[in-house]
Amino acid sequence: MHRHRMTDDEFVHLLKKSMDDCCAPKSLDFDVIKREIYNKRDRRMVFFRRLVVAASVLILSIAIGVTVLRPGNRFIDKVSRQKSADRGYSYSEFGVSANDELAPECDYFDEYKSDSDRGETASDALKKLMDYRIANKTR
Amino acid sequence: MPNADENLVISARDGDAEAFGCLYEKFKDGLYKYAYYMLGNPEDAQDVVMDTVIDAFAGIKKLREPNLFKNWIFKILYNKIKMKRKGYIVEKSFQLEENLTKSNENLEIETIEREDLLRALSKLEEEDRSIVLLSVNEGYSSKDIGEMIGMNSNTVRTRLKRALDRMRLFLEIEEGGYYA
Repeated sequence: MHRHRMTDDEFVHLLKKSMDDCCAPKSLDFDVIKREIYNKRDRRMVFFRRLVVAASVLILSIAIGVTVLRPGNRFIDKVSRQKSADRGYSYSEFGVSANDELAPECDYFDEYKSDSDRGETASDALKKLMDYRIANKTR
Repeated sequence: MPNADENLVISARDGDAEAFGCLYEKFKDGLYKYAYYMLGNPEDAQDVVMDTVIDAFAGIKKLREPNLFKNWIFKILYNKIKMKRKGYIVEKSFQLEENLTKSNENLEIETIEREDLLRALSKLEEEDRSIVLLSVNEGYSSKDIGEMIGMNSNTVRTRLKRALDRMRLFLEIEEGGYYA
């Protein structure tokens, strides 16, 4: 026996009725989504705060660097002149200066020179040599 | 004078999360249903609806006409679904059992099985599927659908008729004459 063929409207009604049993799951409740929204917002806020702090520190460092290390800066010039003067005085008192050639008899200076590979600079080595000489003279 | 929904939209626009929640709860099932039948799987449908709600909550201040809230949120969802489908490397099949047996002896058809419905919808082009779902489930007019998906209202009407015929034919032939 053939069933009665549906009209277009009946078919649309059947479609709608068939789709009506499909409901959104609990995970789509607004309370759940709201938590997600606020968590996202909090995470974004924390990120922006960190970004602002990092940017401020960077800008401040650059500004200080530019101001202090600018050629002709009085403070730097004064400090560096003072340092040179101090060094010249203390070394020249004992008959050596930073420009002196190294005494060839100081064998252990080679050790210091080789230490430069480990991050020790020539001026560090020279300073140690000077200290050694001063110590010998005052003994 | 604005109706209750429009008042909720106005409150939500002023930053009232509870008002937005009330609005969303009204349309939640419709949004999920549309996403589910468009994408064919519940996980993706949940994802797109959640993304849609988050975007709508963030962007409701930009909604100028409160009476168009429903159209607006469905349009966001429509775009999200489009993007999601673009992300599918291979068109996802609905992974249904192929050997569903039907008895032709039932005299009255109460509803169409969900698997059959999904299969029939999967035979349609993406836009046609959208048109059918928005028209049948949400009762949108051809004009509204046209505005939503960027199509002429006459074209929407023609495509709706053609899509329904195609679904009906599929359900009649492929499903052994069980439906329609």
